[in-house]
Amino acid sequence: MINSKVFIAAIFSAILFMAGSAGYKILADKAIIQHDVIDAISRWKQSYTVLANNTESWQKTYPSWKNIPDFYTLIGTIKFDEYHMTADTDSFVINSVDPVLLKDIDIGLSRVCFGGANGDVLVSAPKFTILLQGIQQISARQDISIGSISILGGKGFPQAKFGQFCMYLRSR
Amino acid sequence: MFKFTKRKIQKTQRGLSTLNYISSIYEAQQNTSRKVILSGFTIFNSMKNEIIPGFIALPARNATTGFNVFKKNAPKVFFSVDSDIFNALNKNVRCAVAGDAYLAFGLKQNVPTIIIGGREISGETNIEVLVFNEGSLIEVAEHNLPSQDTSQYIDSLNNLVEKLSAQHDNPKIILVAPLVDLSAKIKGIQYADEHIFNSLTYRKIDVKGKRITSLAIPAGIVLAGTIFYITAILMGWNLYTKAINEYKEAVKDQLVIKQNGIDTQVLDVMDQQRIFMQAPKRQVKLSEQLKQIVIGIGKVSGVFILEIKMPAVIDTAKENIELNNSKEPIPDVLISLSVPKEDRSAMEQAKELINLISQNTGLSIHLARQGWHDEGLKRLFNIEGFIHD
Repeated sequence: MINSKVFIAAIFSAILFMAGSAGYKILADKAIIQHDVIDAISRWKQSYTVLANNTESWQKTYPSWKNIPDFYTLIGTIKFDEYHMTADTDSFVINSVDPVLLKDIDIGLSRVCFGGANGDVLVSAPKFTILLQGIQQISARQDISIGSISILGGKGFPQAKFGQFCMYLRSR
Repeated sequence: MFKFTKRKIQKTQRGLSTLNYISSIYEAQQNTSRKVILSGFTIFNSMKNEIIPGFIALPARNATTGFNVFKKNAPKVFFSVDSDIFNALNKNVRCAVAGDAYLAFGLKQNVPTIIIGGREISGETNIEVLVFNEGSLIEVAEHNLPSQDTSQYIDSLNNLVEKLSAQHDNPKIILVAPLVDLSAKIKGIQYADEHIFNSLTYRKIDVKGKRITSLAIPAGIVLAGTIFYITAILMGWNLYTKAINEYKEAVKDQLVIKQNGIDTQVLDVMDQQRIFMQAPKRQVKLSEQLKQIVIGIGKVSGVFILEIKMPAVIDTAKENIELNNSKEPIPDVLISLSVPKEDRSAMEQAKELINLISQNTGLSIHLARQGWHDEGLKRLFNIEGFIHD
């Protein structure tokens, strides 16, 4: 009679033992999965925080499409006059608009290429030194892409011709 | 051989002599044995859980066999012991209940059986009747009969047996020691001697009437299992809730909310944006080189720049495709110059000019094919330059 009680107790206890172990395992496994997710999140956050440092300069560097209602506003952002250059902006037409893809990733920039006759952007300055300085300053601008640069002497003011002159605009 | 036999006899005799029955307070007081069997008047038997004043209830015994134990109304038998007995007994004395032996013996029988046990004390015989059927105890009764030495005892017992036989459809009726063997005198009864008490286990009984060991072991086992279960589940639950909370905390972050959850594509885009911004721009180098070339040419007197073009061939695509299909190297810069025509061959004038420009600009230079012609007083040269990195 006592043995049967011990036996029943042992069976009961064994069931509790197995159920407890199984329950623990299920919960612990879930916790592990959860921890993996948390790790992924914290890694993501770390990367994001590091990369987010660039976001501000990214937004400063490239003007947004939203703030550029028309083509003339776009040309206005080049500000040739600040470089003491003049350009026949009236003759400019847009040659192409393409999204910028890096490793097949759309990085949220559009490349807007434009120019006058022959597709080039022709500018002039009173002196060679001014022209060269202007060329350097424009070339240094992150939001402008220039395919080629030519210096043109001859009669009148020295001129520069930019081939494949494009601007980068944030598309989002 | 002789020794062996002798020892065996001694053992048997001792075995018989060690059975000490306690049926009265007097016997309890006089007891010197360490193992006693409580029987007769000192024990009250019932199939109901009754509280009897002055008696200590022992744990209920299962009064059935096999899986019937698990049935809802499984029969049980309750033994209660006169509390005065305990007060009289030495605390170290181990006790067994005669009823346990009747029960075990009765449950072992395959046919309907009635066990008649009990003991005589002070001229009175206390009879305990246990009725078994189909492996279960179905009835318990007690009777007080006269001393076994009297003829009334035999008559009373005979009456009882007849009555029980009639009530229970001729069961096997077993009279049990230490009652006197009357199987010869009363028709239809069998007798079982004291061997049925051999299976009894003797335990110390505490004042509360609970056998310490009986439930302590299974309870301990169940407790251990329960504690393990609760601990395991709690530990698991702790881990889980901790992880969930950490997750909630992590997701609560403004960064994550702003980006509608974690999206590795966002990171890829941001990373490419960073790479794009930080990539050195060819145009910067180009404009610097152009400046150096213009300055270098400017130092050569009499030279007028018509055009300087960099790069000589426009890399039309953003990609760096190899444009050089011919073996001839592509110049980095094309220079068109106008100089006053001198009174010597164009080649000679060009040679000097090229040397000067090369010295001033650091370019390696050669005249383009068909790279000169005269225009009035002026001589025009087309020069190809190569930048040395």
